[in-house]
Amino acid sequence: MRLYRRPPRLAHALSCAAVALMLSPAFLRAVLVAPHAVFMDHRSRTGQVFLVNTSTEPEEVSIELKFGYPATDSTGTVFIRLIDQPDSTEPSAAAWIKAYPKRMVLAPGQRQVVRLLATPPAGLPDGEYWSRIIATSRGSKVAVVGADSGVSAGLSLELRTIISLTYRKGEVHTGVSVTDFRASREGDSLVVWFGAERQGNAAYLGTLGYRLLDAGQHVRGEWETPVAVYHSLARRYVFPLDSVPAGRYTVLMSLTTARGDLDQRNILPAAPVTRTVDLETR
Amino acid sequence: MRFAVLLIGWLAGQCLVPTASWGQGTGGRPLSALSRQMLDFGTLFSGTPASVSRFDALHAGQFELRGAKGTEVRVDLGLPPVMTAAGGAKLPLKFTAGDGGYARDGIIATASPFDPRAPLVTTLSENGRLYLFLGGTATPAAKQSAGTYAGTVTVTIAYTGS
Amino acid sequence: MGRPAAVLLLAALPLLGGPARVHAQAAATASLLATARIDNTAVTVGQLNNLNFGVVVPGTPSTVAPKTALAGKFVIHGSKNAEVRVTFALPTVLQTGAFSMPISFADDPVAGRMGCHRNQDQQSNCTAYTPSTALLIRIRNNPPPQNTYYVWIGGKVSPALGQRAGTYTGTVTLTAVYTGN
Repeated sequence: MRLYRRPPRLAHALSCAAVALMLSPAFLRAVLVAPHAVFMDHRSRTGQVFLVNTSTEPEEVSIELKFGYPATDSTGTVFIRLIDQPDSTEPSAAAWIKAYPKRMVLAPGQRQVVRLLATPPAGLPDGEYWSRIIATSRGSKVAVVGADSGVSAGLSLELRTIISLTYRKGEVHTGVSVTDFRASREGDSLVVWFGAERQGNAAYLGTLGYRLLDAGQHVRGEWETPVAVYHSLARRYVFPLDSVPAGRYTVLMSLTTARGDLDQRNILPAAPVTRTVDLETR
Repeated sequence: MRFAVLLIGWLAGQCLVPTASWGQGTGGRPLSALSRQMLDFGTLFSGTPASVSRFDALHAGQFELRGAKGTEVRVDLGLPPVMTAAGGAKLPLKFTAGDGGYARDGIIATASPFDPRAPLVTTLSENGRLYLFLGGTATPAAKQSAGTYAGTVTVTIAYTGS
Repeated sequence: MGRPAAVLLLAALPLLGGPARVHAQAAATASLLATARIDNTAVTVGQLNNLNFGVVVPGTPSTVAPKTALAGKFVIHGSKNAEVRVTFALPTVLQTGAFSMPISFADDPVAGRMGCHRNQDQQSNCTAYTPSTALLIRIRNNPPPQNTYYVWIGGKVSPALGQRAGTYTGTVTLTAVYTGN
């Protein structure tokens, strides 16, 4: 029996480091953030995010909350609209949800739980409130490769991972109205424009499915994509049409609140939506 | 999934209820063993190993052993090589020399180390108590499927007669 | 019945039936549970290679193309088929004290576009792009560990003829945003 004793933190860090060295992939730098979508409610007012340094060097990680939501630009591409000072009409939770700790240094292999604590203003109306969680990690070293003397160049790296945070209070409901649905063939691709406005007081989280049906109603192509409508969305989707011959087709769109990547208990139900549009290709 | 949760709940109940088993030995005072806290790895991620320190008061496994004051006992731990999910998926577990701790006063921070893979021979305290603390490492595979996993750690305590 | 309630109810069942006692001669046993929950909703952003310019010679620009072994290499692991927007904030100069050296990630007449991406680790077959622009990608539709997306970046440093000796550094910021779409 060995009688040495190490301080607990050191022992823990050493064991984590040893395991990380043995088993993790060959990351120079890496931070795991989980889950990719955080849901909180007004009853518990708490949430958590896990951070794990999966690399072999220490990582300094900071956590920031900022209001934001997915939106689309004129080309139909999604981006996250981050707003530092949202006006009072925006359902921002960024100002009243705090993360603890906000800054930390993670040893290789170390896991850290970041607690989220909400202190919403009195009289907060029922509804859904949003923020984005930004986890920024910085390594402890600048990678420099070169001669000992002379001119050498190196880059340090910041990794920022941005995930969603949703806070729900009281009665929340969602839905979506389709404002645009067009399809065309461009080269060897099917291009679909999908526009939607959110209904209710909560973001619509669902799955958008497309089926390409020929004149005999046979399925010639099928695609599926998660969709999130916070305010409105005008997306352009491109799908390959490699083996589909010219002819007359129908594109069937279906929108449901099933999501494979999220716990279904966090998904608000809404009536399914279907639309069709004709497509003629040459 | 619900079945898995129920199964884990039932198993947890079996293990965490003070299921003291006992035997008669030295001085006629029965030996007893009870589990005080499960070894809880919490939430883990595929391909990312995680350790629980034996000093971790919230997550380390904890046993309380009772018997005749100041007598020598032998303690054996049965350590599972894996934790298992309801569907049969296995999550490897590893215990090393530093993962066991024992204390006569129940204070985890000052517990003495022991190798949980080997028998521990020691004496009970002056009030007939011995506390064990257990850490370990779970090593989820890169392909580890999501779900709840559980395994059983057993402790056996016996008087040595010394 | 909620999950916690169900767990508590079942946890209490042994109490109702009485503890499972095992009698032995001068021995006693007990057991505890080791538990863990595997969560596969994590997103990991990692760097696998540094962008490596090697030895820099004053007066001679040094270019690393994104399809070479010296390129910076990044991988994102996430939920399969999840959409992630990847952006780089790139420096225009590297500095040491008050001295600077230009660095560029713009399209190069010889090396081409300085970024490259693919959902698998196949650098030679990756799709070129300009790394100063946003990249909207979809994680490979496979369970871990094949739930990947790879990005490579090259760059060009242009030390002046009389470039002062020293270690010139700058910061690259890679941002990966889950769009939820």
